[in-house]
Amino acid sequence: VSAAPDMPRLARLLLRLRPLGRRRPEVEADLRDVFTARLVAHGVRYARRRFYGDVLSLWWHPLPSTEASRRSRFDRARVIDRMRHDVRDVVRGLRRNAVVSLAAILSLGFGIGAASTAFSVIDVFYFRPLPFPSPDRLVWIAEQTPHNFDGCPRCPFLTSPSTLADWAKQARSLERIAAIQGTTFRWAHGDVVESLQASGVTPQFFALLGVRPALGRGFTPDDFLTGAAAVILLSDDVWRTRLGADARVLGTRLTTEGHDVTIVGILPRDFRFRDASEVWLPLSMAGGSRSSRSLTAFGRLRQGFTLQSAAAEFTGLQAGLAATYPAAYRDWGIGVQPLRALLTSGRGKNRLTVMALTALVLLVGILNVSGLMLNRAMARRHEFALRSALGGSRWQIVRQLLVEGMAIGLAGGVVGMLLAFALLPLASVWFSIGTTALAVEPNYRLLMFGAAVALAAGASTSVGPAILTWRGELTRALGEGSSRTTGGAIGTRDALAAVQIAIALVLATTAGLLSHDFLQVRFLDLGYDPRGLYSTTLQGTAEQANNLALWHAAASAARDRVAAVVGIASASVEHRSAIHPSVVRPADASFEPSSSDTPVVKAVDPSYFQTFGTGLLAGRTFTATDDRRHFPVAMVNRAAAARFWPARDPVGRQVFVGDSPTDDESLTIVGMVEDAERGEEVERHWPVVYRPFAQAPMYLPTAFLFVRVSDVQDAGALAAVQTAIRGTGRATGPLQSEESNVDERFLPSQVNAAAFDLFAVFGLFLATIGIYASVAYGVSRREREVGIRMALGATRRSVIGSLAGRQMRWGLGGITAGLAGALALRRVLDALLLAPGGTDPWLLALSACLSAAVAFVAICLPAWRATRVDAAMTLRAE
Amino acid sequence: MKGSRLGEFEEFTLLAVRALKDATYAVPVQAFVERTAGRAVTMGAVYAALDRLEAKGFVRSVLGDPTPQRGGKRKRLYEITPAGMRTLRELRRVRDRIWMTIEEGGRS
Repeated sequence: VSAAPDMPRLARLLLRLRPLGRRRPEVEADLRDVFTARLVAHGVRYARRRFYGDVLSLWWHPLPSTEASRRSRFDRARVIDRMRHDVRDVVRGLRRNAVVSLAAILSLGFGIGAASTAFSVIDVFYFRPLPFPSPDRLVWIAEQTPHNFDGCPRCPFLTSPSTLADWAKQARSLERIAAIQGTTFRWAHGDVVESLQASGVTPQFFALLGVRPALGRGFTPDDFLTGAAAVILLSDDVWRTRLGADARVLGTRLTTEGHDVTIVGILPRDFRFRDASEVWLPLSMAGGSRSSRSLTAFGRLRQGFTLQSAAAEFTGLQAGLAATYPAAYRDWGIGVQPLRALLTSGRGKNRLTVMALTALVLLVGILNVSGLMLNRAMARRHEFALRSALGGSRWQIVRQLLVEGMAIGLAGGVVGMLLAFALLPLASVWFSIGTTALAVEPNYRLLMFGAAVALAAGASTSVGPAILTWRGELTRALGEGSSRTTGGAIGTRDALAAVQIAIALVLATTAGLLSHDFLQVRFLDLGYDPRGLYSTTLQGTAEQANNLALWHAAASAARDRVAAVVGIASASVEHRSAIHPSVVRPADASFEPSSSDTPVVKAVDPSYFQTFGTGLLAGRTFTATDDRRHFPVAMVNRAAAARFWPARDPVGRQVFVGDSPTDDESLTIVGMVEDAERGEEVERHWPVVYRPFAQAPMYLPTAFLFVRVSDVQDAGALAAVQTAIRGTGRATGPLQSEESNVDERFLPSQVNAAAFDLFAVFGLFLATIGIYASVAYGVSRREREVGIRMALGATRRSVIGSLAGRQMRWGLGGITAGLAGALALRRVLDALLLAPGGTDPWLLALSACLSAAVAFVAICLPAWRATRVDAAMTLRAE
Repeated sequence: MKGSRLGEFEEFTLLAVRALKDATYAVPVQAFVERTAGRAVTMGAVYAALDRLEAKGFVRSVLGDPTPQRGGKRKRLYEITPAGMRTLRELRRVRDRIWMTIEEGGRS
């Protein structure tokens, strides 16, 4: 099509595929005229929508004049015409069997929806180019930790500003190099100070990614000079939600930490990098030791360089640096990876397991519809036989079956796409990628995938009946009695049902385990009571940052002020140490340090455990006298005690805490508390060492202030606390409810568990329908036999046995296979679980029994019903 | 097919060709029908209707000269035939008679 800008690509492709013969040039020019006219009159959205309509209408309406000059052997137009008739026939056929058709469509739709959502996620993780220009030339450059590095030997790590500067000077393989560092921006407005998530970036950052602000300007080199006026870029979200999307904010100032920064630009709406950064600041690169690594570095490859050649160059650069500054680089390596690796690292946990399970759901759907189609084909044996006897070719019948399958597939595809649109935001949460450049959105790749899967799934459901037709099994029936069923078809159908049982069992087991796990971590004891617990952050002044006593007094004063409010049961502070000590070990020499569970050290005040409602298991809690003038003490949680002194009383023992083996501090354990860590789910049972707030060193002058209200319903107390914390002048934000924090923290696993439950229920439901339909059909063919046998005095049990025996054997096979599958999956599942202890064998057994019971009922019910029919009635009906 | 009879949409199309005078083409016809009938009309439907009208001998078409506005692409120009004109008049007479009956009935 002669190009008019904005004409939708897909529609243009469809137009090109529509046979138009010699009329093509005029029709295309006409459509272009219409498009342009609508574009001018009604705007681009309208024009594009109507263009789709026009192109589709050309496919729908026959245009005889376009075929007049075509005399080719393969006449596409005629094929299209025939297909149109086929489709109309099929639509009528599906309407006649509305319930079965609807069941089939929904079965496929659910499977397609799940699979398409999974595809979108896989697509962004592995295939879809990152949303930046020439994304294949973007690389992530990371120093690699030494082999003895705490927690993660030989892992990608941050780099220091000085190293980055050397790289920028020396690296020839990179066109540009930039770095980013996460930080917070404390925005003071009105009488509150609000913490915004911020990113500090180097001068090349936006140019490297090819991102320009949607409004205003980006950072210029001058913005990075020492003494330059402070500037800031806002994310589109902050600009819209906090500043009313007002373009006049450009050039105005935001106040932070006593000075002003000027808003110079608003970033584009769809710009995302690695996290939900709300504001962007120039990153000061001055000074700093080469060992203080705090930057995430990445670059753009110069044309002609590959990842490998860049990696080789950087290995050389690093060796040079190590020779010049041995202390800072001893044992450190370097790695160059695609930028995608940076964005995906630590995200999308277990995505492959999830994909496998969605594939299973799709498979159950396809198998189910195959079974339904097989039943329908068998029911229509007479029609097929008649048509074949009247000279209809086998190909015609097979074609009709295929078109039917694909029609069901396409309808299922529409349902699936709607479902996928609804599921995508959940998937974003699930894989925690919603705030990154990887964010999943509906796009044409998803549509293409959905359409392809829909057609393939639809066609594959008609493969069974089509093969039987081709072999003549369905067309030979004319001369045979109606009660005789074809062996091949029955066998195929029973095997389908067995496979469905197996898959349903695997799904049910998985869902059972995940739900149980979720309930366990969510609703069982957290070790503390989040209801009525609120928190905010206290921020020290610059003066307090250098004086522990001052900071301690200021934080305590703020706490006491809040604690005095009527309706407040308790308040306490927890020192928020950005860097926790790297050496934590018991004085006993027997202890083997392991990097996988280095204890966390926290500084808390005496009322901390009371505020949290965490139970004391042994010894005492801190008191006001545990300060600088008295000997240093500590408390441990149950996990730390179990880690350091298994099965022994921790009270009275010594623990070393320090930053290096030389300046260790020896603390005496005075008490043990229940595990109650409130970090990520896994951290509830993380080993923690608590120190008195008054004795602990300070890394940063910030602390959490926790408040427990006496009465959860008491809104007045909360309002009073808000006023009180505002009065301290040190609080940095409004009170946050710990309960909603907990809910938020558990949202991904809740989504996880709910999705699996849905999968399982649906899989089980489909399998049940499939099995039931299969047996019921078989039974209905043998009603006469049942009647005779019952009349001759056969017991109901023996009749059921003979009617359902084969399916029962198949079902048992399915259950065995499913159990084997579930056991094999167990190892994978263990990694998915959050609660400690791994999969519960009893739960496995329970899920298996449940699936077996459902299958058993589905098999026996139709047989049992057949035996309830009055034998005399059946015989008389003959 | 409908033989020499006209469907509603064909009638609209034929009227549009007449109303737009001589040598009109598919694009103005579509716009005219959409505007006067007050409903969305696809180009495919217009082409199909014009095709059928031409097969029935109610319109005839010729390829126009290339114009620079369309990048040298020709337009297919339609005009109504005497047979088409007769059919339209006939349809109108039938309708007028019916309406006359209705209105007389209303007065009595």
